Amino acid sequence: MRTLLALLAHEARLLFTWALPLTAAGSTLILILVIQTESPEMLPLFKTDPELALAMADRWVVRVVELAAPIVGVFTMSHAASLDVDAGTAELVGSMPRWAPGVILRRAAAGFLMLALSVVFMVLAARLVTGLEFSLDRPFLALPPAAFLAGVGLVVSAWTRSHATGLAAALGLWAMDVIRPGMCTGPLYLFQGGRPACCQAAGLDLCLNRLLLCAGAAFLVALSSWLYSRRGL
Amino acid sequence: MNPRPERDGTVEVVIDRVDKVYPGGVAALRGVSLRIGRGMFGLLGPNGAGKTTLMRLVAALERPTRGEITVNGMSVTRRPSGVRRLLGYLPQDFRAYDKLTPREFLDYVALLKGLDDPRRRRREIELLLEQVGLGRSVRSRIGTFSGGMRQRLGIAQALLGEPPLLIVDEPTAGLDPEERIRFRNLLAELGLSRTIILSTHVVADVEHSCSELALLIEGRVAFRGTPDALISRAVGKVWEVEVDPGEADGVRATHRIVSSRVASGGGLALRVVGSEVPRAGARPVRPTLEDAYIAVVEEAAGLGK
Repeated sequence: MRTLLALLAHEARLLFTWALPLTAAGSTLILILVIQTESPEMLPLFKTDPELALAMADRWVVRVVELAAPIVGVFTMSHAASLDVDAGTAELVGSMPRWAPGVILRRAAAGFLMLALSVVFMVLAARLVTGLEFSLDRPFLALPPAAFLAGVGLVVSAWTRSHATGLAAALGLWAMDVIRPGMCTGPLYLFQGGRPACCQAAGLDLCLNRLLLCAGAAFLVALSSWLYSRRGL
Repeated sequence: MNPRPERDGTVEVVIDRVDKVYPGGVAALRGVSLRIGRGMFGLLGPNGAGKTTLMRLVAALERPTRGEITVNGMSVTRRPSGVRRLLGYLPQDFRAYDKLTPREFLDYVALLKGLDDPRRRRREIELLLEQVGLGRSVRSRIGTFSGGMRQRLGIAQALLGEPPLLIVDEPTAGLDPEERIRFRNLLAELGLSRTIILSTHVVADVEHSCSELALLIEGRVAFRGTPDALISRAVGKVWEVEVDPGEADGVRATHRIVSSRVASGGGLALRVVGSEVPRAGARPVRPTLEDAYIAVVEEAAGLGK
């Protein structure tokens, strides 16, 4: 266990770029600004109908967090497979007795932890600054789509051996789903308010959608690990 | 089968009739057989001779098309992780993660090698950093290191876990003469207690540190033996001759010129390799390992005169 934690710490150190705190801090700032802007409408409601006021705040929190978390996830994890793409480092890692696909599994785990911490930071900071005690569970429903998109970035960068391609693919999918929710993603729609008509007709609810996204993320990470271990060594 | 190192800590690498053919039909190795024991073993050959391929096969990074490689009786193909446990590997184009410090990098590699005890890891890392002369740079990021410092870090990571088998591929490429000598001496010292396979095309590296060598040419073993035995193959084939500058091309057509310098008389003093006297006035000289290497390469290429 100690060894695994030490390895995870190293993988997190390797994955860390300034894009992670910058995106998290930027998103937190946007979240606070949005809530402050909406305050004149929300604050009077706290006196008359506090539940409705909190529901409004929740809605904004969810919207901002679920837009930001995938970006944080993509920036954190999509370069996990291209960190050691040069022949020397790839050979070095390949010559180690530890199971080669484990590198990506550990990096994905470290990246997911960093992503979760970023979301915790976003929500808690917004709660602290605005003083609104909005719920904590719904913002965390943004983690499965973030992990899924990060998985898309990871698998594309493992396949093409280019961080930029992975980043572009994942961000492209994110942008498509922002513009036309569910059009490309179908049952794997990314945003809570973006349930496409086909899913509504099939009775696919948010819970099932999040489960599918989690399974999709796990599959993509496994696929990336396999691609990584077979990269011409 | 004896998967553990011998009592003296060394291992034996047996390469038995190994072929490696890449997709597209490019044959990198053809029927290579070698037996490598304790000490430093040099693998010489021109670029593209198959040295790196052979290193990668021994390091279980690739599989041979035919033949077998064993390390202490353990098949590299069937038990790659068992072989990797005995192995320290310095790849040809060694790089490390630029954002890490050498201590962090070595700790990461030590964990990948399965050194789970943190105290042992820390102790080994400190010792190795001192041994390779990076003790003062432990807080600098690897991205700020010179080529020589990176190579020293490369050998440090290869030595983590005290592996009985070290494979170093072109370790002195890009190093200045001082660094190269330092690196060579370090390897020679390490070779006293383990098996080291040094792949290089720099003849001087082998000459000064290896007790045995193999010369690979176009994927085949063209020579295997001691440096002295290789030198003796070139006796009577190395000449020094003084020519006018215009005559150098004539000599080049029949002999391989190893070196040329301006002679005191104004002409060119050439050192050439070939079985026949290049011209009247040429005198035979004692061959060096470099001359012998050239002679065998020329012979194999069918150009030896």
